[in-house]
Amino acid sequence: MRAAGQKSHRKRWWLLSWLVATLLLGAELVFTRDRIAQDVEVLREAGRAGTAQPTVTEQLPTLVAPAAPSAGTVIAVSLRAVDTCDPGQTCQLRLQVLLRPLPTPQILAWSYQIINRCTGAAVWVPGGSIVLESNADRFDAVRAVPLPPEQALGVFAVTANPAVAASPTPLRAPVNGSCDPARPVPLPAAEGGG
Amino acid sequence: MLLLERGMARRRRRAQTIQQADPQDTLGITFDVAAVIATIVLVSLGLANLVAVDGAVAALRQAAIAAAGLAALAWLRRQPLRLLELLGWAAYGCSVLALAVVLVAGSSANGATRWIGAGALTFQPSELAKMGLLLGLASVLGSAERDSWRLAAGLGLTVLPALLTLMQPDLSTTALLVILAAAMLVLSRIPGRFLLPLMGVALAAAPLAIGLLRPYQVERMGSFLAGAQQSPAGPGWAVHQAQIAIGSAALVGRSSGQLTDLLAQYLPERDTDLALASVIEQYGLLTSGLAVLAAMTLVWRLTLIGRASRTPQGALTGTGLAVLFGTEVVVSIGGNLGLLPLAGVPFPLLSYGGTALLVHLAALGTVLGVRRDGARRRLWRPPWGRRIRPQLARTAALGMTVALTAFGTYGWNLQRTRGPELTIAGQDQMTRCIRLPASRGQITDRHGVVLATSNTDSQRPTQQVLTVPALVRSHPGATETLANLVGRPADELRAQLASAPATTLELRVAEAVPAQVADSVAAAQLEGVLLVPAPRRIYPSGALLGPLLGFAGVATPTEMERDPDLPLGEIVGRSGLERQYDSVLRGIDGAQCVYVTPLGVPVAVGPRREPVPGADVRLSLDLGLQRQLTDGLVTALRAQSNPRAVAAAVAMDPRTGQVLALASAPAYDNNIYGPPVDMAAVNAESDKPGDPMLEHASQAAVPPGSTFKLVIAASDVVHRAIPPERVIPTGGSYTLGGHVFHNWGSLGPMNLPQSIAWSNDVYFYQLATALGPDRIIDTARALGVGSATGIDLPAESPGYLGSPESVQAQGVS
Repeated sequence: MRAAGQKSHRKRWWLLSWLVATLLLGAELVFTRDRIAQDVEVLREAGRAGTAQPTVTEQLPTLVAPAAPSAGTVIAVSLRAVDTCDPGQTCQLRLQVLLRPLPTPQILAWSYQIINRCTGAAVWVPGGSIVLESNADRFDAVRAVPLPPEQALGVFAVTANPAVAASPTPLRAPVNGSCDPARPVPLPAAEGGG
Repeated sequence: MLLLERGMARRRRRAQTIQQADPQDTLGITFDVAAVIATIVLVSLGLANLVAVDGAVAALRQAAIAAAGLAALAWLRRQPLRLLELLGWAAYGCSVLALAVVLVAGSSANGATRWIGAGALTFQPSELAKMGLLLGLASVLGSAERDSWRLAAGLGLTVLPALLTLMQPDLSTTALLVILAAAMLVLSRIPGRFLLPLMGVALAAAPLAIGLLRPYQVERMGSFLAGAQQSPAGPGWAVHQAQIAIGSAALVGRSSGQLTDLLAQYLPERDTDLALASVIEQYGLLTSGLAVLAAMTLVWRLTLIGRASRTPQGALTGTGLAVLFGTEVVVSIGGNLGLLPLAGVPFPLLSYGGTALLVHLAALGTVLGVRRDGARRRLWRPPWGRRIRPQLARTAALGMTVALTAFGTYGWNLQRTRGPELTIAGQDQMTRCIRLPASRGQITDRHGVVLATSNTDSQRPTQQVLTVPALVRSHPGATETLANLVGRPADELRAQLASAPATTLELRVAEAVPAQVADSVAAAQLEGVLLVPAPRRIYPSGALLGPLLGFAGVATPTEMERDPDLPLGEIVGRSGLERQYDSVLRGIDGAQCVYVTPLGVPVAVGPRREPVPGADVRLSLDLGLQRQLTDGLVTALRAQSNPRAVAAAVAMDPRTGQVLALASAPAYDNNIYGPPVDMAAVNAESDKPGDPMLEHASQAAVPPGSTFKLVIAASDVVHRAIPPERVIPTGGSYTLGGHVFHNWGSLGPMNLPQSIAWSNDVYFYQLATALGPDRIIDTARALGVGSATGIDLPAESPGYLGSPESVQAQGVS
């Protein structure tokens, strides 16, 4: 009889406990939900404090070079625009390849990888090849490269011979490109004169 | 010697007495070897970390406290349970009193008042509160009173130290006290029906507590929520540094020798909150695994000691300390790895802190005393079935073991997957580089005659002497030696170096020193002294090619915008061919790097990357022809009465279209642009009539004069308004619309070829009238008049092609 009473007493306690806990949490949710959300946002903001705001250019995904910056006898590959370089135009690009000199002639072959910075799609444009004299330690050239009419492009120079290496950072065309879906892509430049 | 023998004899007699009392009660049973070894391992690793990051003095101080703590451990281990309980109450009372004293007379650091100072010694009462609360709770929760009474007493005991600690403010210790109390309530089998409302209150209060956090605590929590990578230079700095320390460490031992010392300076709280990351950085990942293993061993030994205790109080003391110790370890390691908020919880026994070490060792001694009591008085234990064991103790220990194993795996994986990246990040943050400018390529004519070159291209270029002031100042005598070498008074040089902030990366102490001085400076091999070629551009042909070649100078904001990769102060082509082919002529700068402290003060010379010279540009121009053409042009210009008259001439190879000479007058000597720029000379040139800085052939739009006769002649060949072979009368003048246009002389009848040969103005007036404007304009446009040629020169003018409409619109004078 006494055990049954104790059991019933415990049950009541359990019920009361659940009720109190549920009421407390429910009241908190009802009355302080906005305040809690605000506090959590304050926490998140504090965690991001001191972070540099990304520029429009930085919002575009970072392009990864298609090959290592140096390989074999290729010490470094560098690509620069001779003048302002925009999509849809033929661009004059300065290619520089630094090499470890060899006592024998080296065949240097290269091409260009053009990446649409908005979609990530990549196309390859033929570059050229040349036989370098023995003991040559560098090759510099200016070549015209046609760029597709997209909003933002990145161009890498990639050597295929004597080893596969790429310019470490992309040449951006245009420099401050962005991906605005509402903006029409530039038209390709007209061929020839009128 | 006599004393020693007496002591040994006493110990032998005592051991015999113990063996007689209980044959099994030897040191191996009453003494928990595993727990003591784990303790010694953790203390030793902490001391080793201190030696590496704070030096021997700090390590000795901590070692002395460790010795005192071990002595306390040994003494407490041998005390009866009753005394231990009394000591627990004493610890509780003292800690509450001391916490109250801290609030009125404590010493502060980092915005918190947590310590009581007495001379060189400081004491942190909140650490003692952990032990006091543990023993106090064990005493009341282990009693045979009713559950409600035990609960009320337990909560009452907790509130006071927790509140006093919160007021310091020391949120992390407060949280630990609350966790300890909650764990003790569960361990002591307080029924769930009592605990559930408490949990509800705690859950409800947790979000509201955000408002109580201090700004730095908000930043730490926020950094955890947002991810340390979101703000590596802000609130996430500490976690980012811990990850660098872990990621760049070796498996065993130091990773990069000398640099590890410097990298260690970047790790904040390396002897306290981030002590484990520091141990990894200094002694390798496997060594830290030893610490984690020791911690796990202690958690399990304390748990098992508690379960084997003959009294409920002893059981709660052992398991309670296991939970407290395990929680501290889990929170500390989780914070080090960035998996939990960096709560400011030190790694127990391993982190620096005298009070914490002393209290933890004493608490361990108390639990070992519980074990000894259980081992010595086995017959006093309640029978197996009637013994009340702590609830969920093994589950808690297992949970902590799982958490620590997961953390260890994460740390190992962090090093494996992000190690190289974090190593580079660590080196980058302590590396600053001084730019070593690359020499620009040469510009030559078609025969290889140099038209533009750099100072650096000469065999013995003049150099400027740069210094890293902090490095030079750190070497006694270096300043005097350098002063002697560059010919400056030592006091003056010393004053210049002293006035530079310690973080200064480069300070020029001599510019354009002769080659022999530069050689002497280089031979002296003074650390922090650099020789950099003076970046002067030289144009041997001067004004002959000034406007065409242009000049080079420090990049302007416009040029920086055009090429964001340009470093500040880079020399670039600013006009003419220097600008047009800047990307070819400009080399790739090298760098001399130095290692800096977290405050940015250079402390050692780092790696050097040699500059790559720019490429040469060979023009189609023939310098001899250029000189000849220019001389003729200048002579013709001198004959002009108009002081503002300008002239230009182009000589091309008609077979290839190559430009062989391109003359412009008046012209300027582009050597005035140096660099450095001779501003007086530049101003003088700017004020001269005729815009000498313009390359008139491509940049000026001026009336074409008689050269336009060829356009009209070409139009007539197409349209035959006057057949070219037809001879027509000309004369000395031509009247149109009431205006008389004079010929240069009175000429007779001529056909088109003769008129071109004689430059007969009247013939062409007549021919133009016969052709009409539209035909002439069509031909002119077809020949490119009024549009840019696309020559590879900057700022080309398209020229001007007029029409009746444009002339009317502009008005006829």
